[in-house]
Amino acid sequence: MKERNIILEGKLKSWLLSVDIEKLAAKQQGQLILGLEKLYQATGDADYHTFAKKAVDNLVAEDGTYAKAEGSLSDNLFGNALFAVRAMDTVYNPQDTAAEKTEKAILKQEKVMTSGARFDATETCAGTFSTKLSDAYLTQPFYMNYETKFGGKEQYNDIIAQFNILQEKAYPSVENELGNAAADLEMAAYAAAAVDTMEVMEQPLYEIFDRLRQILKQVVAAMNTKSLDTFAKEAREAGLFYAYAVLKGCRMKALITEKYEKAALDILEAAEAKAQEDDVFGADTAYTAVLVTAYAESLRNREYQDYGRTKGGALWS
Amino acid sequence: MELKFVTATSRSAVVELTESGKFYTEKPYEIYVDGSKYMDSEKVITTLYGLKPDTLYKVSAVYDGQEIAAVDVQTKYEFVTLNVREFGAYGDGVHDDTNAIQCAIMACPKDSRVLVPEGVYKISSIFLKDNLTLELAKGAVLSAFTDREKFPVLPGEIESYDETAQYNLGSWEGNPLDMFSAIVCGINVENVVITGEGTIDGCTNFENWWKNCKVRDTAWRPRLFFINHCKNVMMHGITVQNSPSWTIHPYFSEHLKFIDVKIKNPANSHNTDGLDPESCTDVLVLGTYISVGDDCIAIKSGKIYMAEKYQVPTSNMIVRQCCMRDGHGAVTVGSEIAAGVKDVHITDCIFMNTDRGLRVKTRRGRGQLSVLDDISFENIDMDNVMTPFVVNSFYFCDPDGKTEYVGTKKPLPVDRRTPSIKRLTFKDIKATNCHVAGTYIYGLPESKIEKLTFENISFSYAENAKSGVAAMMLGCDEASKQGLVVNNVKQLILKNVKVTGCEGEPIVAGNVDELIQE
Repeated sequence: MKERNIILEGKLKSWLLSVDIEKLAAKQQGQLILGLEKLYQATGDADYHTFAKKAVDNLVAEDGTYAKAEGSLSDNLFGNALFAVRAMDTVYNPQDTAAEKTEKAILKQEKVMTSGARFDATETCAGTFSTKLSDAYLTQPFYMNYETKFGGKEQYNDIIAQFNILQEKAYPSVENELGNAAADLEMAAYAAAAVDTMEVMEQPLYEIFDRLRQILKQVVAAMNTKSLDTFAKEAREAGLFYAYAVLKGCRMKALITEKYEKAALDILEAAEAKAQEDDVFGADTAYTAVLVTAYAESLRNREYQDYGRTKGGALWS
Repeated sequence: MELKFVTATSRSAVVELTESGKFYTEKPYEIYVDGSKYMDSEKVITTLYGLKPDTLYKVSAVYDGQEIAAVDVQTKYEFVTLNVREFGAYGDGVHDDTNAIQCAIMACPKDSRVLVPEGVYKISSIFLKDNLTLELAKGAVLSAFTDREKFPVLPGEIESYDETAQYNLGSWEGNPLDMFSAIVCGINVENVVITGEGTIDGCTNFENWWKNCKVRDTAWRPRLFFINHCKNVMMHGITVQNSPSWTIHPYFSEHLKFIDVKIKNPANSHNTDGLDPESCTDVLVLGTYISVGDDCIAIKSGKIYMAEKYQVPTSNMIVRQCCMRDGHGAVTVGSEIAAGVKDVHITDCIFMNTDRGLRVKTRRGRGQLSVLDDISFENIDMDNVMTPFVVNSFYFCDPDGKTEYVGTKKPLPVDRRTPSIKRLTFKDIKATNCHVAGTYIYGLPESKIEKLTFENISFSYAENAKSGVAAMMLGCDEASKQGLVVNNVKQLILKNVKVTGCEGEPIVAGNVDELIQE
């Protein structure tokens, strides 16, 4: 496991717990709440969960209406954050029954997402929710989470079909552009989408897991070839997404740890150092939210590699 | 009637009294060795224990004082015996004897045996090695611990450093997933015999492995006996019982024999199939008694991931002179059969009190490699079997099993996910005291069963027949005393098929292209 960065964590914590989440846009809210819950999971510090849960309570009405809904795909990242809050409640506080409105919000959001526009339809798939690779990070983990927990896995095939369409239609041009900042961010978020979607699926549908794993490996290989050198030098959001996806992929045994982990940790540590030096917290909320997420994943990594027998040994969390 | 030599170890021999019955002989008889009475038997397949190595014996079957058949039996050469007590095993039911027994196994030279004498030996996992005979003497029990922390984990997948291949060890329901090592486990070993009158007891109950059994905790539950990529393995004589999950699980292995084995798990235990060969070739199951909580024999070849990666069906399998009772299915093909099953023949068996006799479980999504072909049942007696023949192409017990894709009765396009069933043959079968239906057979509308033959079959129903669900598929409602329900078949051949006492039409056939009835 990565040594905890006490200085960073102290700064992060004081910043995180003072953020006025309600004022943020949907995407930032989603990312930040996800980060808070991941930090809670990694450190066991309940302050993160309490803060995240309070934000959700304020943002979601009793009927499940999400106050900051934009009607865009960004809302789905908040939907996925709701799953994270819900999961932590189940794990750490099973007596808490206040999850009802969260569930209502999830069900509402899923309906909005699946009834929305589709693109690049094929004979067997109605099409993707978006033509952008990075939007898969907003939609697909939420979709898979929903299908696993509420949908009876009915749409697993749709989820994987959408990834396949993105691979065919959107991936090649982004791969060609790797090395420039926009393409790097597109691709890194897509890697995070693949690994986050894998994490919340039902294990026995292994062929679907494997397809996502192959996509992750392909993306990481492409980025290692064209983008890796810039990530540690330039503390960019893309590098953090990349680090997050790789560390999580290693934990889930989708990537070989001894080959991939070090580069990801180097990127993260460089980003941490720069963040402390520049005191970016507060100045760039979106960036900090992703940093929190990647940092939390780095804390979890090794204990799961060691099978985590005392923690149930779950490679899927 | 003939007495045939089946197989021998250095200390035992197995003989078969042919044409004398199914599993049990029609009459008890005596066995003489070199002119002296040795034992009584009432089984077609009989083991003689307590023989000496490298010795020729004359074995005779005697009925009413008359020799009815005889055969010469030669036991095998034996170099040394390694008694596990001499290696420090206590056998007191308290101490952990895993290491002592493992030490004896690893030290065993060729042509020798590891002897586990009478006593209760507490173990977690022991591992087999090449050229080994492990003998459990009468009264010897390998009694398993049930604490998770005592068991090693077999990872489902370990990727090669160059990322071009992988090494698969653990397996769960057809996928390469982490599982605890079996109580007796073999990985890449050859020429192994596990023999004797003793017992391997998984000691499972509803307070340990069977508790919350659908939830993975650290890893999936262990098997009682698991062999992975092994060759020439024989299990003979022993009793295996109270398994944490599937009892005997040969995986990607070949040239296997299971002779005169007794497999016993409580009828209400979870997923305790008796014998589940998965992607195995050349399997003989002979004279074996199986009474379990799930399927007695379940023939498998993995789900689509493993099937497409390795493409190894289970093939060339014979089940003969066996008794199966109390399970969900006597012989099941599925549901993890994505690499196909072919050339499987079940003969001279009795099935009692099982939910189904033959049970085929498949579904859309198993894939185009999932071809079932040349599977036959011949000379079988079934009694009190709820539904003797079930072929279910809409099996719903999967995470996505109740989706529209799996469950719809409308034809879907045939693609790489579509499985198929070719030839199934049933001959000389008597099914008495049926309850739910004589047969319940459903092929896929887009991939019909090619040829289904019933010849010399009689079905009769229990006077107070119970109702039940014939197949685990959407739309199959509870019923009782149904006749032969057959759907989505290209060619259905019914020769001398008698259905006595059903309610409603004896044959309800739908979407059958050609019906040949004699």
